[in-house]
Amino acid sequence: MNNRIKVLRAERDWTQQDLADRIEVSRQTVNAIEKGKYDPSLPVAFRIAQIFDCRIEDVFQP
Amino acid sequence: MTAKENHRLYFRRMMIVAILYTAATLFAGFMSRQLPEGDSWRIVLALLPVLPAVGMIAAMVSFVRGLDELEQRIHLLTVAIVLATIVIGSITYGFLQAYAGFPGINGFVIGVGGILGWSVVHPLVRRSYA
Repeated sequence: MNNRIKVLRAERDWTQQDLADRIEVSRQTVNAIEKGKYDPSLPVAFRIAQIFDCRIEDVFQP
Repeated sequence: MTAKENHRLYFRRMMIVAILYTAATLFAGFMSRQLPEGDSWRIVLALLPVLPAVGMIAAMVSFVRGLDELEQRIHLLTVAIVLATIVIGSITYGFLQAYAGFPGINGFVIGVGGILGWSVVHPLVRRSYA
């Protein structure tokens, strides 16, 4: 699954660790999601969308 | 609980349980030597370290539950690979023993193999998500 996390993160000048702390996962998890190596669960995907103040489909694309 | 706190709690719990396990093993070993061969208390003593070992399992389960979802997946994949390898390996060796005359080996090998397998497989699974 493709996603815009890296772009959204860069717009806010957040590191992977900053985002990881905000959504309460490890930095490695953020890295794996960003690279598309791991698809997050719905609760984590919703938390990511909420943190970026976006709709879930604006962050993740199938 | 943060990941750091979870790790710290796990190591603290494992340290306590490992000390209890070592004490139980040493106590059981010392006491069994005082008892005559065939005494049924020897069985009880041999099983005594199982009690702190249950504490190890509880500490591991609590640790895995405290991990985030990707880390849980990495740990569970590692367990699946190591468990399947050990099961297939032990059954295969059983056949070699039964039909090809291979020597019998101590059951400790399975435990040691599990720990070694974990230490090899876990970094590989982790790397696949890096």
